[in-house]
Amino acid sequence: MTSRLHRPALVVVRYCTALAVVAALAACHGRSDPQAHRASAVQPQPGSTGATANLAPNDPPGEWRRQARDYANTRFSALDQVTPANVARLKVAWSFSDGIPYGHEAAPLVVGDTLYLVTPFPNIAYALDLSKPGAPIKWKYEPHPSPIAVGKACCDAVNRGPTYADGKLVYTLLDSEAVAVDAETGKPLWRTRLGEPANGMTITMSPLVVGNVVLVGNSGGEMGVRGQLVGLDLNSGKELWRAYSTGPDADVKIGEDFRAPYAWMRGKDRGATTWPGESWKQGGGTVWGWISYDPDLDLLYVGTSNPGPRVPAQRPGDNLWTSAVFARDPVTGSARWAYQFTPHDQWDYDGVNENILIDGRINGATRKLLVHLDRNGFGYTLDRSTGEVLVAKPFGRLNWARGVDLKTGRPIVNDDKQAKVEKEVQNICPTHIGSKDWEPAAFSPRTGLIYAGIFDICMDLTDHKVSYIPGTPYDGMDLKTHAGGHAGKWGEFIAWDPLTGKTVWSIPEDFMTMSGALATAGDLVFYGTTDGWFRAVDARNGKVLWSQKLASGITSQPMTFLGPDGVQYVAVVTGVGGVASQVMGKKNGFPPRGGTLYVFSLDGRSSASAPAYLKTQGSGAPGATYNTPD
Amino acid sequence: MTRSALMLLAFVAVTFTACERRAGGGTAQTMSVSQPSAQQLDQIPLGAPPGQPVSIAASIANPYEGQAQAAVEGKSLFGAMNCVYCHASGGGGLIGPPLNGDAWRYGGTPAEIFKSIHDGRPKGMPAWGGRLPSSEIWKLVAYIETLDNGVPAGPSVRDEAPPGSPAGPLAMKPATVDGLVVARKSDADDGRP
Repeated sequence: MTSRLHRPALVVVRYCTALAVVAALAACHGRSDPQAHRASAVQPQPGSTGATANLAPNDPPGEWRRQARDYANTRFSALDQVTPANVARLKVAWSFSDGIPYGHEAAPLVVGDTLYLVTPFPNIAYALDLSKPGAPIKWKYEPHPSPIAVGKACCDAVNRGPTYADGKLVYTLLDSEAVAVDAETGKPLWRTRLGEPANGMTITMSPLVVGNVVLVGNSGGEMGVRGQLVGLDLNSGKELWRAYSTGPDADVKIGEDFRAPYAWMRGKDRGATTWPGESWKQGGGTVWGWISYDPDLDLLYVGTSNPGPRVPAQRPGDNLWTSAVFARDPVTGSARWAYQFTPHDQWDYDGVNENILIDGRINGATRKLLVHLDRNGFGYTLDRSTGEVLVAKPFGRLNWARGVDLKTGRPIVNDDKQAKVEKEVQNICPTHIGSKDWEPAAFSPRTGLIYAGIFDICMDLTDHKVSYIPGTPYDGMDLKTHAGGHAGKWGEFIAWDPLTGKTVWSIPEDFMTMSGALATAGDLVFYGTTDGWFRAVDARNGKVLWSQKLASGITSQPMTFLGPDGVQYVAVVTGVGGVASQVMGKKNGFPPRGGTLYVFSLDGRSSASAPAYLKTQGSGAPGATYNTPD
Repeated sequence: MTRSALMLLAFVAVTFTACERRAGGGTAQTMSVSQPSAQQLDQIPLGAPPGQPVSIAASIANPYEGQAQAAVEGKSLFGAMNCVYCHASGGGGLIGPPLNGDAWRYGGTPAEIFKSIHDGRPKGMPAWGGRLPSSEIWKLVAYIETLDNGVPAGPSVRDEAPPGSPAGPLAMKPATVDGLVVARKSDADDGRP
């Protein structure tokens, strides 16, 4: 355990030199009695929906050890130095550029006095020493993944960030590998290949570690790659189990203890029998989104991508288990339940978006819930013990379905919007990337609301039949996108009531809003815009309290941490790219690329800024750069 | 031989039959030509050193030069071999780089483009030598040559479109040749090093 909150008072003295030890502890607030601090910070406040969350594994409040911060995927921080009253004083404390032009989609991590960053391809890891002025590089790890992967990734050579566990930094490489490096020294510990990029498989997702199991999915659904979730041993990187998203029950790890919530998903080998022939072998269902975990039920939750090819005419049937969510045992990988959001997906509505685990009252009973804002435009609230759909209401503009039948769990598809071969179907909403893509929402246990960046984009779609050629796109969708509404707004940032399925407030944005959200105990929510505005919003009413224009667009995930000086910092990485550049790159005002980490604090206070001559102190042992040959 | 390779060969055969049928067996059909030798092509370096005269590649012509029908068949292959889903309609670029401008990573002469298709390239371009006969690769080159300074990339972005309305003036219709529709996705933003 490297909690700075439990370190000897001597370390604190370093930052409060003018004061006695006892006074220093009191003055450096945020460092004293973290347990009591957290308990009060996470209670529902007046006006809350009453929904709460288990913030396990209850990391020290000043740290951020995995992309979603906690297993429940709340992206909520108990830090509260920055509030609606003082947020307008946020200024840049320091910044760090990685010089890489691909889309930046990750959050940095902070563990102890170290900040960790993983870049897009070529997936360089940096450790920055927060205890020294200018946050110098402590170590750098260059894994040299194969460049072939750059031309196989559908949506830019992105990476969604590392995770920290047991002294290791664990992350994925674009060329379908997972690596673990020593978080203290940067020394590589293990490296495991999970697939073959020449055949179209890549990995962009952030792993989750549960116990000693590293959970890693895959990308490449647009190339006919078969979805998989693999459990690796945290200490050795050796494969413990592999569960596919399509195929016979044995491959999917569906056994005796599997219970599908609805009749149409039940039966033997449905992952194979809902496909023509053996087309499930190129059927997609890749696992490129977020994984959450409930320590009480001991179940992980993870979504699967759209089916392949994207042309539905070539794969009659429900195409299980694509565009779905699985509940699995993290130790064995075996599936306990699954629910398919979009049977026989015709529009590229992956089911990979985050599943936020909360508890709340629905129909008079408090239930263990799973909240999922799907690409298909419906905001789902499921019972996470069973997969039963309790709420399914549109959170964005949609016309492909008229609703979700809560008795059967199936969407009621609008015949007018079904995809057709060699015939254009106009104005299908949402477009292929959905009402919301991978950019993760946040949940505040103080308001009981979900906060999410979403899109308002529709498409005119013509399908063409395609053939499967390994390592080339298995696609067939020919589409044109346009803003859904008359006002020409392509994005929005919303607060969503997960218990009733209603939008509570909304902030319109000119560009698709493709940044993750951060919620804090200061009742603030942070997000960025594709054209480069970083915003702080009052979590209770949606009032924008602060905006700062940054160098490039924001398609990453903001986070917050406590520095060694006891100051709350808010951090976000700019560097537009990914799907946002593919969809909106030609629109006036779209910014150029470029990856930069920005760290903010009240008045810009930090050890990296002062009216004096400052210089970066050396850090890291000589030779602390690790290169792995190609 | 793998099952998928067999499927591919079967598909290629069907495609060629279709091309010939469309050509009607008349004057529009491509003529058999004498192709550059493997020895000639082997001499082409991967990019010319700065300040050096253009390599031997410039002296090797596309054997289908002047045959419009070859570019039509190349366009058909561009769709059937899934090229279009990486390089986009009109070669505007998407996952792969644009093919319609003046910037070429590995050279833009017909012989250099042939080599890129035949050998594959390090950032994900598959090697089609052994998957497609050289004659068909030259037809793809013939099609790509027609894109030079030609079809611009996009734009497909519209600011406003009331539901149900037709595409705005900026929206391009998919390019067609002899009724063959080539897919086009959203516009590319190459931006890659």
